[in-house]
Amino acid sequence: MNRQSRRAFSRYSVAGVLGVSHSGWLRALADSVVDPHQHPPRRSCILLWMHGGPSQIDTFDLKSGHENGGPFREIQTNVPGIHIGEHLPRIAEQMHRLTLVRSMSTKEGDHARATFHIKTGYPPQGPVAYPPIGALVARHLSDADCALPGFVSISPARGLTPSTLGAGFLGSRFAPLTVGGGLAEASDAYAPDVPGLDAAPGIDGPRAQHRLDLLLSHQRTFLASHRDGPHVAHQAAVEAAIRLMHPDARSAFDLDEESPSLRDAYGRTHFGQGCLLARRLVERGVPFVEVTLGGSNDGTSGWDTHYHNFEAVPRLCRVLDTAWSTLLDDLQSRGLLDDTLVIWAGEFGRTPKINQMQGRDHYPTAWSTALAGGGIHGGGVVGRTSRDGTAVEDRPVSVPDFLATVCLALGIDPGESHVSNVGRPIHIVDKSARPLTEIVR
Amino acid sequence: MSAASVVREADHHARSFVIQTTRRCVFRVVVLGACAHSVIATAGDPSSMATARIDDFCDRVWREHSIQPAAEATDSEYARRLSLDITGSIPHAADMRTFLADRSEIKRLRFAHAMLGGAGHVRHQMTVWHRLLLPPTMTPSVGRWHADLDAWLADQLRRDVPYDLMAHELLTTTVTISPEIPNGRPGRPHDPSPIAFYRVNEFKPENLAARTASVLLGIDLDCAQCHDHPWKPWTKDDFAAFAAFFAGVEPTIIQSGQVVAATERRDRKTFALPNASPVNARFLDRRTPDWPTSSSGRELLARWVTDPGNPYFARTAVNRMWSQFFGVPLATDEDPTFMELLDELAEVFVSTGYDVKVVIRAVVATRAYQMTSETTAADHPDQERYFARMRVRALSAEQLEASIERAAGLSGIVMPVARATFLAHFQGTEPDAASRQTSILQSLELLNGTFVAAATNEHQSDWLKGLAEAPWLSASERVEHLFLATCSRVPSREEQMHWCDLLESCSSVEDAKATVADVLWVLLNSSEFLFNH
Repeated sequence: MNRQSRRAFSRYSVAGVLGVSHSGWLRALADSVVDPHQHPPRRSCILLWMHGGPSQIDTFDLKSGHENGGPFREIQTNVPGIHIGEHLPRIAEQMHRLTLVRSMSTKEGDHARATFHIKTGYPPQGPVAYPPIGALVARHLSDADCALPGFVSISPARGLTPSTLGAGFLGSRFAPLTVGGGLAEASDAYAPDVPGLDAAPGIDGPRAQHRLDLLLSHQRTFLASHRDGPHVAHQAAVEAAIRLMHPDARSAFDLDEESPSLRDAYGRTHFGQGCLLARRLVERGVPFVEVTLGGSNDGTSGWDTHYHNFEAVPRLCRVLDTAWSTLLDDLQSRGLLDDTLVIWAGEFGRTPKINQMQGRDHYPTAWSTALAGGGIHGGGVVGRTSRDGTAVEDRPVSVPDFLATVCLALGIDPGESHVSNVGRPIHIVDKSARPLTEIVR
Repeated sequence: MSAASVVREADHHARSFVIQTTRRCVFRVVVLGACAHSVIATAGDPSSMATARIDDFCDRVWREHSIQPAAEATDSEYARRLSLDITGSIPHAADMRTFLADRSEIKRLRFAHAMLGGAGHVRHQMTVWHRLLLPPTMTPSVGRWHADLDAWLADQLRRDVPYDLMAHELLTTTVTISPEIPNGRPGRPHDPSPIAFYRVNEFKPENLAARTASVLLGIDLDCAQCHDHPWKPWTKDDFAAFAAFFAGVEPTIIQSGQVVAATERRDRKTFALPNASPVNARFLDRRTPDWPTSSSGRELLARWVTDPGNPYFARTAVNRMWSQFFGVPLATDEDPTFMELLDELAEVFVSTGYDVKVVIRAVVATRAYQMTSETTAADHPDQERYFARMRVRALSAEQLEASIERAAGLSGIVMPVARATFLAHFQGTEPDAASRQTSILQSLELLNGTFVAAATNEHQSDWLKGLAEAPWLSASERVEHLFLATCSRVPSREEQMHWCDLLESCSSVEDAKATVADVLWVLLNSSEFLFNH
């Protein structure tokens, strides 16, 4: 909060001012909410997170001639020479915006470890609490005046290690606000929501405002007599939470503001509506939004297709194809695509060899990711795998390579470092990284 | 210890003992001094002697750094802090009233001793141990193992089993499990066992080695799994040699990623990291063990870990206990100012048979622990670093929940879903209470979440209804009770005036009840309540 609004704020926080309308002192806080049209966003990032490890051979790196290829066919894209799987037809029409990375090669085959590795760029061990890329982007690209948090995670997979949902040593200020999700299939009316934005039932607007007034005034004594400690960050979190409760800020989450036809175009699924929300958040200055597909919602078992891979993948691709292509179109039509990097990735790929249950198992040795939008040249492919899909033949890409590329596309220096929880400075991305500079604009 | 030094100790302790109690009639100094002198000289109570030693050492450090130690904590500050640190919850309002009214010189120590003997302390220690052995970052789907481990911890802690024996059992518990005998104890399949520690580490030697080193020895070996440690002396070979003590642990049946049967191979004495050759078992001080064929690797390791000569074991335990009361360890390699003191306390711990309560009693009676956390303009930048002022510390999820429950008289209401949601919000990953930070979602949970809402609902909460409706209570008595219940203190005159005005300006009975609920809500959301200071 800038100094101006702090002074106005304290004027309203005198206790006992019953009868002041709901927008009373909250108006002062609202002054600090950034009008997105006055402050053009710096680059933003939307991570489409494919929880479970999506099969590359069935999506972006088909091996149609080989027995590992399975039953799916290749289709042409709108870029000559690039072919992808038949279940992503609309993305195929947008290939000019995408760069495929077919040569991801890593070593982690366990879900939790691999997720941690790709999201933080570091291995999941040791005392250092590495922050995920979302927290790092929030740290570097957030607007301090924005009432929305810098890192939002939509329908994340539950039950994973909590560390992938936090902010590591950057501190809770950059931890993701988690929104939406749930185990049941989405209804037509589904919209991701932030739990706890409303005061408890039975507490009407004036009473809620009154309580907040009393609280903020009561806090002053303790804050004055205890100048240092975790309660200081707590006070900042309380103020940030209150700003988020303001109608102007929370309206970001109100999908009813969008036309029903647009909501249909994204698909009435957790993931589809999540992508729509991601666009709205990016529009309002949120620098990093993660939308998860396959996290035990949407009625699917996610991308972890050890069994019945060839039934699950088309279902997932339908949801993905609809939402992803609409997102790119929507961002483009609002003039946001040039400043928004859209990443498609999971924690690893799946075995080229089909197993006995018509499924594919975990495979980190050779897999695919995709990048589109701001900072990236579209219409290309990086790397190549062998004919049977088991090995990378050209330009292996490690996680640090990948994350360094993401940083460059967003205008962040991957070599910058932050002091960690053990006192040692840690680079945003490990120094050994070789970013794909050829695809960065 | 020579007689002369005992007398010196006792004399000093007598002085500091009086300083710790209320600063009253000076003439008591002489009388008390004499009594304390004789008590200590003859009884040689290790806790009191350790307290004196800690006070002495701190004093020297403060003088060396020209630091003016902070003022003494008020009774309220002390009692609340002590209750949170020993029992994991704030004190009952009724207990606070009794404590505040107590005029005895030794009331603080008596309060501490009473809490150490209670069930609250056992529960709190269980939570602490539980997080240590099953850290939140490592437990994807451990469900029922939490209960297993809790049963074993409860049993050990209730019986006051010495720390070294607990560690020994943890390291040597049978790992020969099967689906029919999941705790490895044939004939007693429901007996508690610490096997959960092995399950959560997937029965893998490298995981068990890293966790054992961290939990019991305070040594972080994790980096050494992949490369020689950049700035500490541990090499990949050291790691592999240490892991070799667990190499005999062998899972035999794995279903859906979980080990359901395992056995132990006593002949296995080597371990190989991926892409490396096998290394023979060796302790971290690079000594090779004499290995009788009847022993397992774990038995040898357990003896080495708990040996009184092991420099890490007792030190780590003392550091952890100190952390529980101050938020940070007493001394580390990075900040060794108090290292000598740590070593002395470690010796005391060992000599009393690894009795945790001896150390706790010593710590809570120190001058440092009884200091206020209030900052003053004259404070030194390193005031907290040298324990010359108490740190403000975050509460754990369990402490928060227990404290809200107690403050709002919630024990009668069950609300399992609201509680579980509340706890899930606060069970974070940062272990350091002094640096934990609140997130927006946590803040929203406190402001608007169901658990706090139910606690502050004047229609739902019987306790709140009682407090708001009791006709024999005046407004100021209601306010006083709310402050005692939440912040463990009586309100100041300004606070009384402010809140009573609010209550008395209510136009209806319903309005007044709602206002009482609002006051409780404000207090429960205040930093004073949410933090340990």
